[in-house]
Amino acid sequence: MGFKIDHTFQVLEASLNGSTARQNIIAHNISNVNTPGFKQFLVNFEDQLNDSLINTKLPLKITSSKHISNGDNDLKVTRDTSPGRADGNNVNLETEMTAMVKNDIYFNAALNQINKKIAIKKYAISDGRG
Amino acid sequence: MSLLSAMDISTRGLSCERLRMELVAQNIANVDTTKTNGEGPYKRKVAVFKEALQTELNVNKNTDNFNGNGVEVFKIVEDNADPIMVYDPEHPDANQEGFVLKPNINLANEIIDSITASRAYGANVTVLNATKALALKALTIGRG
Repeated sequence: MGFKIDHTFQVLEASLNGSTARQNIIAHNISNVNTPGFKQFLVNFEDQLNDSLINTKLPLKITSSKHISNGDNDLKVTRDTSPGRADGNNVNLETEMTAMVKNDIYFNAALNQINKKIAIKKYAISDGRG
Repeated sequence: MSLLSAMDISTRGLSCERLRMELVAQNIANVDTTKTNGEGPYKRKVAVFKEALQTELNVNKNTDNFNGNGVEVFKIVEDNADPIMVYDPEHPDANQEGFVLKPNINLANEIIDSITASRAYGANVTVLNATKALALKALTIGRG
């Protein structure tokens, strides 16, 4: 065995990246809450991450086995085309705010997992004395 | 795409909403202005917002089709609705029939506009603070 092994770090990294992208998208949607005709962006990276895990594909794209991936993965973003308000804008402030709070919790959860994982590695390195 | 770019997006939202608030202030301050550099009374000014998109140069390759970059002011337009006629023959700007042309400003509209701008500003501040909390939390990676 050894040090490489599981993909926990990669998955968690992909989660953080996805969560960051979602934060960007929420910020974009909310900053356009008063832009007539604006259609909000939707993202669901969990499903994509899940798919890549089920297909035992890594969520990371590596063009050569010698490359160290930085954990970026393609993220599919769609526009919500529903008509929305009278001015054509379909941002729902309440939904976006809730999504943001959820995203906050999700980000923190992934981050705690990373820290825990690092702590475990440290413990193993120190031969259980750390 | 980073958390810092999310903060930039929120900042753009903040400055646009602030501009809207400034225009409301400008409109209300000029509610009785009958003289301008141009012809006729002051005209109500309105900001037109537009979705800001990333330029080709800095478009993010990691996300397939998200190229949003917040909001921007497309332009500031003048409301061309007819001025309000007020009968006041003593006024220096009164016309021959005794009517004065007053700015086409409806105070109710302006107040509603200011409330909307203020709420949207608050929403952007909330997002900015949440993003900041995430970024600060990310700094703790490896300390645990």
